[in-house]
Amino acid sequence: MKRIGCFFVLLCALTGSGSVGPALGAETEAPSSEGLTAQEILDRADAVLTTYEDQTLTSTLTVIEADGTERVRELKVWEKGTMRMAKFVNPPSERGIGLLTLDSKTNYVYLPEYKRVRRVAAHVRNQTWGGTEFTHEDMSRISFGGEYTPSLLDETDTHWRLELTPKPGSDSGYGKLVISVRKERFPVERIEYFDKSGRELLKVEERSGFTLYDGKHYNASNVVVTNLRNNRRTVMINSDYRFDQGLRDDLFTERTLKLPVR
Amino acid sequence: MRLFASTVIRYRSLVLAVVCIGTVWFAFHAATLRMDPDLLGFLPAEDDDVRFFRETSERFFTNEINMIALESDDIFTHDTLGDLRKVTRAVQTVRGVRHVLGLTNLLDVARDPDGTTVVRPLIDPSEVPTDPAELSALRKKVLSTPVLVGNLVSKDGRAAMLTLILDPQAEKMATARAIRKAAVEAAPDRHLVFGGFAMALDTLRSLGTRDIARWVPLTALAIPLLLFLGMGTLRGVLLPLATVTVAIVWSLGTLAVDGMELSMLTALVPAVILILGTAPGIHIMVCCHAENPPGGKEVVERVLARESGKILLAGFVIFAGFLSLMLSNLTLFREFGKAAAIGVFWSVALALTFLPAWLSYLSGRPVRSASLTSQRNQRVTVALTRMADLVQRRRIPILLAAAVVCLGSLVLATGIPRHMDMLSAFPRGSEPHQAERMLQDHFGGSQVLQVSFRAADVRAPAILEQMELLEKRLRLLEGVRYPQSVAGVVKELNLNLNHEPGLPDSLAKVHNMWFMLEGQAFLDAILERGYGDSVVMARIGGSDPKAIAGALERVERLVQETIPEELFVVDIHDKPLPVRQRFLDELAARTALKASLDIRFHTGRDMPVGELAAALGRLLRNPPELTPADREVLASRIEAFLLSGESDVRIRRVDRIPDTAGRLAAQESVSPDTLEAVLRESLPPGAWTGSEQDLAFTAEFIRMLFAQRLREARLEQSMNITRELAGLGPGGELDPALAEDLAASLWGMNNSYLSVDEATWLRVTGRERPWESRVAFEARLTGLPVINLKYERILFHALLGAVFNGLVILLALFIFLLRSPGAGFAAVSVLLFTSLPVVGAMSLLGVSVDNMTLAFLSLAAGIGVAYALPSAAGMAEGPVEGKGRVEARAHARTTRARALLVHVLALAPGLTILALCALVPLHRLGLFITLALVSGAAGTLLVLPALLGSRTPDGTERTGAPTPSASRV
Repeated sequence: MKRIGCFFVLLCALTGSGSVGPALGAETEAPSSEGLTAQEILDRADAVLTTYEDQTLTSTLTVIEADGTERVRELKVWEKGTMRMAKFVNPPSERGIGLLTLDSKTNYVYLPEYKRVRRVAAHVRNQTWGGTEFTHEDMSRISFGGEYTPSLLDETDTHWRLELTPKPGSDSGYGKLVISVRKERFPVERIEYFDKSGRELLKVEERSGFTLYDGKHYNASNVVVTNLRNNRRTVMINSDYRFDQGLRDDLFTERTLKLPVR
Repeated sequence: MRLFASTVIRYRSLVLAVVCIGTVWFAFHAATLRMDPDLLGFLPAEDDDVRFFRETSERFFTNEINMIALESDDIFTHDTLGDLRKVTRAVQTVRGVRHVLGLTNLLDVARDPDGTTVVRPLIDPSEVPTDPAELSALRKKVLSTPVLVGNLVSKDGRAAMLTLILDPQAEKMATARAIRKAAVEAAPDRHLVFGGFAMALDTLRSLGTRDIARWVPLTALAIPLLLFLGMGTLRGVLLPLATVTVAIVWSLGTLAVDGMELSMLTALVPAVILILGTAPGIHIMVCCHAENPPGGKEVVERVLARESGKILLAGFVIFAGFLSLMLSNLTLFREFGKAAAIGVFWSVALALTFLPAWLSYLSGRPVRSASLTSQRNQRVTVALTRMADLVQRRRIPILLAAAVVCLGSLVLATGIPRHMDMLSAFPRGSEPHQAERMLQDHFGGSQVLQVSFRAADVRAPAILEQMELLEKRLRLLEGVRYPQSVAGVVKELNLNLNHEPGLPDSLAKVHNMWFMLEGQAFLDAILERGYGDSVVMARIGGSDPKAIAGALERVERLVQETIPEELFVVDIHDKPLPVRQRFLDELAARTALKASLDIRFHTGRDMPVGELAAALGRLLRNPPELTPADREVLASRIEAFLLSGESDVRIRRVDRIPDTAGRLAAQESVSPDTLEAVLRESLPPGAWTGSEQDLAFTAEFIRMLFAQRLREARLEQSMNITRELAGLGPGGELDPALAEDLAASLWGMNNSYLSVDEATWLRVTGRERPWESRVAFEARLTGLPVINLKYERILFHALLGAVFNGLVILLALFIFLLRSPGAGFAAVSVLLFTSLPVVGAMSLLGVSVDNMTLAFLSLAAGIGVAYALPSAAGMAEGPVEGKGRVEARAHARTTRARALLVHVLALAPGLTILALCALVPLHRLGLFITLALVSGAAGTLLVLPALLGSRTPDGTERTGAPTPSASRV
């Protein structure tokens, strides 16, 4: 009974958000499917996720158990490049808890009751994140292209469906993903996660409420993940998006992590 | 009965039509009948303990836990770990498996020398170690981790276990089959053993399927064949068996219409109907065969008029006997009684309507082989007549022999094991037995007890501490192994994340850490997701039911005597001095208790708890002073802090940091003001950047480092005192597991909060209880072995009650219907003579009392009634029309005896084939019911006439005039 999964990957990666890439531009019309390969569609979808220098947001995570009971947690998130910091705002018993990631190997956690910043190295990817249906792998994913090879399953007037299989050498916890990419602006609206064998559908992530910020960042405000094995759901509502505020590097320090959340 | 017989024959077409339509209708409903999917459906649902157990096991997936064990000379080799990993990965992908936990997918939380908390797989998922040194280190690490030994790996490192939690909605047997297949394919050369409910069910299914495929067809072949030999005609086989088949369809249909699901007992109703329901059909057929011609309207009507009364009488009594089970307090018994009564009702009703109606259409030509006039039957008649004469001449020896059999069986009955053994359904050497042996040998037993803690938030340190104390006490109890709870998980995380070896002393601290544990699947087995319920789990060792019962009683006593229902949390340092001192003494006593339990468990030594408490109390009254060595440690920590990014101020003059750290560490007064002043002195303006507030924060943090070092010093001193008093010597390394336990216990000396029970609060303060700091909770023992133990008692009493009720009701009915206490007692004696040998045989074979016992006993009693009552009633009957008294009586007697013999000879060998089944319940059914058939026949043919002799049932000498009761039946 020593299985203690930690999570120290910041929340920004799971916001399901991003922006329309500079190459596409805010005014770019969604292209038609003609002539686009699966790889090109995935590249465009990935580009939507990385359109900012830095961003801040507030995220409300609601975990809904199979019996309907809910647990709500609210966090404030700062992100710049690979650096991410999250502070728990609610519930009151967790207020002030801070998580800081400087790079994939340097993570810190601050627990206000202990008044100490602890460095934590978490070499896990397939563990759940803080009682949600997200895993560390889901949370740390910035793009799909680096890890998966796409193939076009089918398309409708509005969406492409791609099957993503892990590239050789990948340590992904999934056998495959099936993603739905909307043809207009290329946001990924639905992700189906399959088990290692690629046969059993484990969970479904649905992103909605996409809004165009500052004319170029196309972000989802609602992300719902339904675990089909245990019927639990995690609902994430993101708000207060701010982009490219010129966040300084020294914001992402252990010292800042200790500061009370405002 | 003449009117009844003539009505049936007059409307025989209608009867046949109704039966045909009814059979289609009932068959349609019978097809919808399902087995009750509840594995523990036999438990009395209304019982509070059972309800609590079911609630707890559903909440913690207790019944969903299954195991795969792998035995090897050494688990810690590249090949074995590789295979274990293959199996783990294979079963993880099986649909219906919620979670798998084993050595190769376990996460390890540890602390690196630089203080970093490292979370990584215990075994690298990409490569199992090959280096012997690495494997040896892994072995050492795993075997010195208490939470792993006995749970995932055996103490000797020769067996590993995977724990699988199945999805409650998954189809159990299909999932179990898929798991077995995946695991065997992943490691085909390994001997894997599968355990758990789903696995046992799958084994049950596979054994049952094999038995059904192998032996049931033989039985199905043997019974008609033997019946043909007995009856001598095809119709003599076809009609009784067709009647009983229709009765089975009608009965199952009735159960389905009633909304009943089949339980392990009601599933036996077809067997009950086959055994008891064939008797009336055979009776009528034999009586018809005794006529010449053996068929045709007139003959059938005559036989029906003559015999239906006796058949109805026996049927009614058996029906009432089964119905008496409705008085039981066990749902399982009540449902069985109801279902069996329905079966008896339909089989008698159809034997008196459907069979004669059909038979009346068949040819009335003489059947040589079947007729009593045939040579063979003449011989049977002569033999039966001689036997009857012999019985009359040897009444006393026969009665004495019967009494010896009955008394001997009664004496043996006192030795029947009363402990239910779940494994008894499986043949020796089968997988469940292998799993049990392996779990016994390597993992401390297969049965798990749970002590449930229910509260508003069970993560409260006061409750976690009670769980910790219970774990420490449980592991000292004989027969109880490897207790574990969420308290151990919290301690582990606190040690690795916060570098504190014990439990956190405030709920706020627990909450702070909790987000790291939340959602972890392994917690589902010990903690409810709403935090209102948590269990301390432990294994019950040993296979001796008495030892298990003893262990459970000890645990129950422990829970009742040592766990309070409410605690009051005291902020010790918030109290005025005299009260604070007394609470500090209480804290010392609590710490001493924990340490003494640790010492006793690890070393077997008893230590002077009072003396240790007093010594620890003195230590608490006089806070430890920092030694020069402590200050050196402190200086290096302050230095590391000032150099780190965590420091609130940034030091530009890095060269000044060592000196500053040294000066700070040397301070006697550690108030923030003093420390801030030292910082200002050591670091002139320009040597650091930051605000005034940052400097104050830095001073505050350094004060915290002082406090931390003082706590460590107190732990070290406590450890020295404990070692000295326990006789463990002041120096040298302790056993790592003992050292870890002791550190966790003694760290409690640093707690600011203490939870005390009401008595302690009143004793220490003399004041009313502080309701605002009250932590109320309920601790209660549960688990399958606990419920089993309780059920054994309920079952035994329910069985006794059912036997008593049945006997009283049957005796009353016998006396009433036969109008003779003598005949009533005689019939009951036959019933006892039929049933008691079954009990005696159970005792001789070491078969314990279980749910099936009721089925065996009630079937035996039914057989006794079915055989004895028509004979007893027949003995009260007057002469048959048109024949002389003596000849008529002999004719009737031999006809009944012949019917009885045909029934026994047709069914007993067929059922004996079932005794060859591997599945123990089927094997026992075959064995005991064959015995009951034989003893029932012997009782009816030998004991009953010997008891009644040449007297009528009312005790008067036979005169030839029909008795009132005889004419009534």
